[in-house]
Amino acid sequence: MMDQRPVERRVGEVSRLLGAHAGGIELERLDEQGRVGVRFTGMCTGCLFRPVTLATTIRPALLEVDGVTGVEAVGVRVSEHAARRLAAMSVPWWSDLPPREAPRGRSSGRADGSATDPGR
Amino acid sequence: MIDNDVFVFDGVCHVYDFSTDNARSERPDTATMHQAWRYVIGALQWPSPEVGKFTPAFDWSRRFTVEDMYELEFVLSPVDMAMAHAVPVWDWFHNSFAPVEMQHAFAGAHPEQVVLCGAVDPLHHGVEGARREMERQVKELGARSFKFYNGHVDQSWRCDDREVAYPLYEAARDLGVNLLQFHKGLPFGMWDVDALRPVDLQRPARDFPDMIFIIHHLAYPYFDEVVNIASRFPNIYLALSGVMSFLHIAPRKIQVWMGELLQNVGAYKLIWGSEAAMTGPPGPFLKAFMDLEIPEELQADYGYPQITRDDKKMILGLNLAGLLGIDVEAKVRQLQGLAR
Repeated sequence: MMDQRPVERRVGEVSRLLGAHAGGIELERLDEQGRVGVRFTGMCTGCLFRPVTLATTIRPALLEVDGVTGVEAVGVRVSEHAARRLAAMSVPWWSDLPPREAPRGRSSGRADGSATDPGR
Repeated sequence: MIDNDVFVFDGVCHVYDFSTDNARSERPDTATMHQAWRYVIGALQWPSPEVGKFTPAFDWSRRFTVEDMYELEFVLSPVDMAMAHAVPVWDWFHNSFAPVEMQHAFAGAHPEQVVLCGAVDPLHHGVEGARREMERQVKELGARSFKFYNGHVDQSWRCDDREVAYPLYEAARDLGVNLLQFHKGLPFGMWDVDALRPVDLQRPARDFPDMIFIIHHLAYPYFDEVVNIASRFPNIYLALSGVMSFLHIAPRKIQVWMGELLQNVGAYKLIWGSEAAMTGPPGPFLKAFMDLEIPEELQADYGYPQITRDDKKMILGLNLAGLLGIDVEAKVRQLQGLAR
């Protein structure tokens, strides 16, 4: 049985990121094969760019969680052609980058030291 | 069932009354409307052996019977269940387009297979009259859903009108009915098309989050609007009522629409409906839908996903069964038992 808590945490982190656009995601399901389903919320619902956000932000972030094998979003699906194009253009924003120097008086990145800058 | 594993629930059929007795012949536009319907019927019919008695010589100026409907749905077509919708349109008919009593007769004759969708109109019945009629249709006739037509020749109303429409939604909720259905797009004759835009279902969907709103006909010509709305509101579903009939007229259009729906709305919110009897037996359309694929170039150029067998199962029956709380496996066993 897969532990749901790390997935929930990562979904929460990504959702806070999407909150910058008044959008978000919530966990819809997690099955025993590690397939995750999320649902867009807020301003993300109905947005034309949901497939892009899914491919370049949500999927890479969740695939980094141990045991996650696939990520889908409810009501959002593109062709294999489009998925390949999106995958080719995406740079995983969640990859381990050296922490950026923090502005004076502010802490940098996350508690584990990895960068969280969503603007890349 | 199709191939013993696709449960088929026709979300929309109507027991029509096209009889001359029912026609409001005093209206100057009635004859034209009936003629137009005959033309549409001819165009939508699928040329196939299943069409059987619906030859060009078939006289559509008739009152359809329970036996007609049973043959169309359950003998000539692999349909397991059907929802019979009353049509609250009196514009050209004395007793409405598809009277609730005729739908009830069909459901009453085959209660294990046919579900009644009642119908009222707040301007025809009056708001209080409509509420009383809704109560009658639920308690006496067994209605499980309600259908609304807010566009008419003279007495159109808005679905987000808090004084005219909301009391009906509240009445449905009080009666334990949470499935509300709306004819959108496809104006009949000289109806104002803009009355049939789906935009006035956004506020009700927000204000009644516990209710399910089903928009019919993909609100054509407001397809883009309805996709946008259904993608944002979790309680708005889309019915493909009659849409599959265009597969043999304009297959590319259906491929594009289905691709767009799968990409942005999701198969879990789509409900198939045949519009029989007007479109003839649903069988040929079901076969065409099972054969439907999203062509390679549309996948490449528009990013539309391929339609899967699981998508088709949801669209053809599982979604509506789920909304009505029907246990599909138990229902299949029941129907197989009845067939023996």
